[in-house]
Amino acid sequence: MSKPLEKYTDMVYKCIRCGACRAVCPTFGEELCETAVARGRMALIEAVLEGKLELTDSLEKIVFNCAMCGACKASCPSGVDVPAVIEAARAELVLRKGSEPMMRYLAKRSLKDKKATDKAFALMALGRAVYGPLAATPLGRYLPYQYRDFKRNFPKIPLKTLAKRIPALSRVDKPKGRVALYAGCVIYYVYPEIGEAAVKVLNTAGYDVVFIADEVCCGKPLLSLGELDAAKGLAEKNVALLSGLDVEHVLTACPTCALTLKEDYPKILPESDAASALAGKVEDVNRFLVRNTDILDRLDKSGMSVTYHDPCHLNFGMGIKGEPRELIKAASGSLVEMSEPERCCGFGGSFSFLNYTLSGRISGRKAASIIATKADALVTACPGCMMHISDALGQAGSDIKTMHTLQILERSLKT
Amino acid sequence: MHENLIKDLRQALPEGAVSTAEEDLICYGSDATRIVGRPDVVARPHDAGLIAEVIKAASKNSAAVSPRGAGTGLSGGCVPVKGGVVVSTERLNSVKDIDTVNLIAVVEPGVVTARLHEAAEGLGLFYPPDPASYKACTIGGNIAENAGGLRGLKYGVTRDYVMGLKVALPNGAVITTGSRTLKNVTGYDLTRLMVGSEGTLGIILEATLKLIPKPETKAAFLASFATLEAASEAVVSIIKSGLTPSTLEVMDDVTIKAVEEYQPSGNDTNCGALLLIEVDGSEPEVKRQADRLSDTLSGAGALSIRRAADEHEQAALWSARRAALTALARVSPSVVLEDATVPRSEVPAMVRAIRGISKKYGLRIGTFGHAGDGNLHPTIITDMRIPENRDKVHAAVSDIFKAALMLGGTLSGEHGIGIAKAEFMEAEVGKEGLAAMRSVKDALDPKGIMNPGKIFRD
Repeated sequence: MSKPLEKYTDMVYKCIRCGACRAVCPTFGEELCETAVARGRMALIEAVLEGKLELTDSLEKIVFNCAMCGACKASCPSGVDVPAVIEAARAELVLRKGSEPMMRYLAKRSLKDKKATDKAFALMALGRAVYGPLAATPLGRYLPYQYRDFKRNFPKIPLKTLAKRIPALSRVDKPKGRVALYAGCVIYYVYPEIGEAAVKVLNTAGYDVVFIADEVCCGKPLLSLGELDAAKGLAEKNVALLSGLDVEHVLTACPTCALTLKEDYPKILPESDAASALAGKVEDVNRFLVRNTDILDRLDKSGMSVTYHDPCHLNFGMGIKGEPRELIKAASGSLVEMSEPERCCGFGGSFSFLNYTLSGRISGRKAASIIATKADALVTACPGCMMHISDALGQAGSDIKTMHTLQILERSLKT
Repeated sequence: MHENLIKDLRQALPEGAVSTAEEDLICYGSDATRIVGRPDVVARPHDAGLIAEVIKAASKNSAAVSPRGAGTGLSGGCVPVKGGVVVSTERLNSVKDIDTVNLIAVVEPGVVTARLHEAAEGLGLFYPPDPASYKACTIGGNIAENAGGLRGLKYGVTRDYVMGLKVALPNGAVITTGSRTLKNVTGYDLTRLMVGSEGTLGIILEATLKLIPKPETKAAFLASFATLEAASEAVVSIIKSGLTPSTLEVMDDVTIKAVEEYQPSGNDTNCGALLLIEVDGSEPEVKRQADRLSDTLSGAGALSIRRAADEHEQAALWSARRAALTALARVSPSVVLEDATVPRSEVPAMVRAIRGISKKYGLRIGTFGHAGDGNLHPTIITDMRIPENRDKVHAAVSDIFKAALMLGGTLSGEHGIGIAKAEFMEAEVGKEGLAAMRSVKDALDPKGIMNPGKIFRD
């Protein structure tokens, strides 16, 4: 049996227990306790590695009670890759304990291949259509995610996925180059309009856009749930589909997908040259637009007042902070910074499903910072953040719109 | 196991404030020294008033009480070496009042130092103490350890800003010391007794802190020198010239190289040392100081002098110094950070002594720190998992202490004595001095329940 955690022994020991992570950790910010911050989690994982602590249910809860935002990693003096360690601990738990709660079972089942995912999201679209109205009735309190403190708003899921909206190749006259778009599940199924905006913006910038409708989930949800083998299968599939394309870049508008393709694929497929080659080609769409195109000159300022939330995987994960802001300033003319724009929104993918109460407290704090700016729109560069922030804004009774950077660009394209 | 203690605590505190979960006992057992203890129980009250109840329960059961703020300490101050209960103040985090007329802040012990900075600065005021961990550490811990920081030279340390305290004593009584007045000579100065007492005399429930007006502006300089000795001589010249910089920091070549490897910033890695100097005050005052500083640095043989033109450049200069420990920590698995301090006239001699100790034991030691107030941070870079290294480090640290004391200095400038330095106490304060401290401790804490194993060797 492989031991996913063991290879992180030295990494775990590098934590000098300075506690710098306490200043930035979103779960610590709410829970104010050592077991909810990177330092505590590292101490516990070290105890497991030293055989001093069993993989108890309470430890499992602690290990899964992390939003995987990576703020700790970005501020760690010793360079501990906390999210990687946590992911390995989760994989270890899954391996050793075997049992899995329903949420993890469902994720595994619905993401394992394209057909299953298509079906799962179609079911969710129908489920959501019933869930919304039902949640408003007295019966609503019997629904999942309708707690006393937080009543979750789920986005409407259209039946027409991105695959039915954009072609395999969107051409322009005299192209400057050709790029591929990897949409990722949230854009593919929940917000396909972001994918459409991507094509429009990239075409305007003079690029042909290739889209592989057969793309599968990047695998991050499974990695986060400790399902290493299942994630590997998805990675292999995507590498096969994307690595051979004759394009300059594979662009993503979901930073989590970008980070997974860039950093995780070469790690989970160490033998695959194609995976490394693909990793080198993956680029965030915001950075691509600013660095490689003249899109900034092709925008009319809309005058809309906008505040920007830094998606964790874009900011902490890829160090991209400036480019989305440049795009927003060019598209709207007015960027109002919120307090702590880099603080996690609390989504964390499966984290928000497994720990919605905590996740809701984190997003509530985010909503308050957004509302205080009095901006017309909250723009961010991650569809996951959009989902979660629009939920929180809704719960706070705010009508501030939530948009992707690509959507605000699309609205401001010169005609 | 203190079963009765746990039972009493569960009775006295609301649910959720008392834990005996294995995970909590591990997480609340250590601090930034990585010295590991193990409590029997962890108490995390939401209400400062309940801390006295925890102490009463511990006293009744003759159990140890270890107070804990953010656990960022560097002397093992909060490590529960005798079991018992760890009392965490992390949930007590409200800034209760900022009085802009009397220039006072009233805070709970769990307020993070950076939050107090923000709250004060938002009103044009300034709370100067800034221990390196200011973003995470808490005021309660700062007071208990009498934390210092980068601004010690001009602005002093935590002690200089504590005007009054509310403290739960080892017998469970709650006392109020000091007042909101600048002048106060009523009886013994129990406030000062509590500051730096490392949790051995009681637990701080509330602090009344002095604020000052925020300096109008500042200027920052970075100067390089051929040797660490030359840089420390320059420190002496700066002070002699009548300047009092708000910060005066030094980094040696080992540190500079590690920093440059970690975050390349174009600093000369061939020089022997860097000084980072900041002066603050009103516009004309800063200009006058800056001019004099430039002259002094040139006169002291600086190889290069860079002045930060704006805030952005200041931040760039600072980033190298702020990254010092970070960069050293990445070199090897363990860092042992000391804070022996000497009168600033002896900084050159102390620097030479550290060099000698490094050579003697074949240990890599990066030295950086607050040269302006004589508070250096010799940092040993090693792997403490190897027993042989542990022995060498112990011997080297002991030599560093001896050297500091020989030069008229002290074991600890700002980290506290805690566990590791307790054995050296007598060497600094003498047998009678230690006995006097002990009699204060015994008078207030006859059962010896408050943070045992710290300051005094048991």
